[in-house]
Amino acid sequence: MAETAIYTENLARHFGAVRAVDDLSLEVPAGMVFGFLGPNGAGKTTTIHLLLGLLAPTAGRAEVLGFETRQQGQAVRARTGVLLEHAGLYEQLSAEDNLEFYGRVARLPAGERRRRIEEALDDMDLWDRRHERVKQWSRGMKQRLAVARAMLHRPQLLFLDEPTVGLDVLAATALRDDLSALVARHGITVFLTTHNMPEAERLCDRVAVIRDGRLVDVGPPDELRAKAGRPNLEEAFLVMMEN
Amino acid sequence: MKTDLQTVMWKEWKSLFREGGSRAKIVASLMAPLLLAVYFPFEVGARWVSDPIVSLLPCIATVLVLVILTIPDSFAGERERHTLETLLASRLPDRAILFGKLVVSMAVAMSVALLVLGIGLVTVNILHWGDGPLFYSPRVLFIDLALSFFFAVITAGAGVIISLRAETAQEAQQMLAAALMVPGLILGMIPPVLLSLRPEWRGVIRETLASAGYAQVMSIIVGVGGVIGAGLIWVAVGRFERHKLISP
Repeated sequence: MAETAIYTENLARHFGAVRAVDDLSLEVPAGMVFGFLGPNGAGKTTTIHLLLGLLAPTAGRAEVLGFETRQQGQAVRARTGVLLEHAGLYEQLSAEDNLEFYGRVARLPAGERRRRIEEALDDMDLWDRRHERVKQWSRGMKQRLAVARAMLHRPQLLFLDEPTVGLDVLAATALRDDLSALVARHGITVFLTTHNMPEAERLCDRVAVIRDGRLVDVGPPDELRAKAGRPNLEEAFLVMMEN
Repeated sequence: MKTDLQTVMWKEWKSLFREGGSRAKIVASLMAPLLLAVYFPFEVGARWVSDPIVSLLPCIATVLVLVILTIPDSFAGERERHTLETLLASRLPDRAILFGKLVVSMAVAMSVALLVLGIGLVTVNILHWGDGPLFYSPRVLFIDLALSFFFAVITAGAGVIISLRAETAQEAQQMLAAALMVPGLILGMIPPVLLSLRPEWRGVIRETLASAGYAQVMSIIVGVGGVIGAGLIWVAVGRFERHKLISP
């Protein structure tokens, strides 16, 4: 595994006059949970699209797991798991079929696929409902299934784009616990975007704050809190947004 | 590539027949072609197996209906249901995604066209049993299947191009139906144009068509159909660019 999971150098993506990502230079060491914080429209999702090689940068470059995203997008996507803004589940299919499809996409051999699907559904406490169409499920259950799908092929890096948005406190807590357990067990790198500061504080080893596509600050949550002279990350974040 | 293609086809097949509303829509839409497959042999008798034009109509109708029902959903439907972004973020190559969707839509359409020919054959044998079993001549079978296939390729190619950019499956379906009306209108204009020609020119056209053999006419039709179909698929491959399919 590369020692640096993500490396960007003056990365930029413009849509006409809008600078969604602007001059972003970032280094994410492997094996940590990295929070990417910013208000709505700050450029978090566009950054994920750039890192997955789904969008070409207007300027600068990015490397993910040692692969250049512009030329080696497929290699990046083969080694990463995603839970994007929408869960991306096929709601007319059962939970088991959703995992079966993405297991096939990852080219897992049939026996191994079967074993991992059982394990993933069991881990997420969804085994008893595996034959149900996802359409009938609550948002919390869908998010848990989407995490299971993202982890099925044991990616080296997991992109999570605001995974707890729209969940009630119980469902969000359950999802965070599941995530923490999975990350601890498999030792993967997580790139987590959120505007939920307590969540970032609880899950992340290091965070970057972005505003209007530009990096404002980066460091461990404690360090950012101390720099802003505030008792928690939420207040520190507000200070960073005002400056 | 083959494994990835099979993976996409597996998902498309499952989705097609697991969606309650879409399944009912497909069954309802099949009623008309299947009824034609009974009605035509009933009306024309043994000509059903000897005259390619008679059996061609229900086959083409079937292919058009099924491709128009399935292909608009290929990308626009995924975009509408917010599954496209995750699919594009997977390791699947572009061509596996595109061709997996195309092949399933066309395979379903061609399978039902074969079913129409089968039902027609059973009907004509039941109703007109005389000197023994009737069967399609190779010429009829070739014309029916070749032209149905080209209609499937052309409609699926046009449909997928539209679906790649449409916001919803319904929008893609409406645009595809409108696009398919253009060649229909052009074909409909041929008789009045011919009638407006000077009599000697009409004579030349009539003689040319009469002297052209079956093989020549078929070669021209198959050639033109092949070029249009291949052209549309080529355009679809060119338009499949992940960065253009992702919303900013």
